[in-house]
Amino acid sequence: MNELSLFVLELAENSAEAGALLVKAEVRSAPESVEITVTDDGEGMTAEQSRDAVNTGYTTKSGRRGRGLPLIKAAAEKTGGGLSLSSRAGKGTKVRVRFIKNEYCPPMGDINSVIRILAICHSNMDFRFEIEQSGKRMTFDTRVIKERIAPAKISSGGVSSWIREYLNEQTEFIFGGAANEITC
Amino acid sequence: MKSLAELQAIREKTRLQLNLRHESPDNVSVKVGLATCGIAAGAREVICAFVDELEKRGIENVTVTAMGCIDKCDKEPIAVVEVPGEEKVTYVNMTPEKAVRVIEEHIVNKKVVAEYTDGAAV
Repeated sequence: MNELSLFVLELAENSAEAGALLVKAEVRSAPESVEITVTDDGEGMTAEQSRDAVNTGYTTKSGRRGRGLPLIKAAAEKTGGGLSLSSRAGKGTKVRVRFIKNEYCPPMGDINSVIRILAICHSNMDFRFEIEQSGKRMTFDTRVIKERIAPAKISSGGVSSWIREYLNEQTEFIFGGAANEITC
Repeated sequence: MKSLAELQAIREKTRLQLNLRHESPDNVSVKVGLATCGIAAGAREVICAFVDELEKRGIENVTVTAMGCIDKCDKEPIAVVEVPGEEKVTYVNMTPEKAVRVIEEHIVNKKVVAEYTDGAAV
């Protein structure tokens, strides 16, 4: 799992498993670093659970929430960056990961597919994505889309192809190339 | 550029299809493992293949969702297909190519792709 976009997917899936209804993901690329922040309104964790989640991979009986956090933390630390998590039981969780741009920094990878499958596979949840690079910014908010297509579903064929094309245009504008060619 | 206004047109088009769908409530469920193990094994590409192929074929009665880890991490990516009235089928070591075949044979032609199922002789 060595793509920044897969880390975003992993973090968002953790939020889904924590029962979140709204997940906000930000990817900010600066000249020297990339920062990923994922905030959810899920069930949250106690201080002890948060420590376990980051250090050893927190496991609940119903699933394996947070198992990927140590992995992401290690990838970030390898670049000289790091991972921080703040969570409150009953309120939600915020994870911030910082990667320094150097030879160890994983490529962005196919972020568009990640956004699209989250929107489609968790149609009962909402996602807001914000991607920023050198002053250019794109946002994608499932609430805006759902409002316009109701009662049709976000997973219906016409909508899902619109999302794909929309995201391709946006990331091409931001990164100047196809999403899966984006390096860090 | 894609505009949000286009979504309104899609809604009108989909509204007609929705009416048809109400008459055939045979909703097939495809669940793909999206825990750490699934993601690391390539679940993103498998889900994309499912979604893209359904879109290409204009199939609207199939819901693709994410599921957690089912303790078969070494067999990820895993896809569980459930056709109403039939036993659910667990496909293991999935790839985008296999996903396309599962749609064609299992979902369209109602014939389980036995060789991709869990426990099938390798």
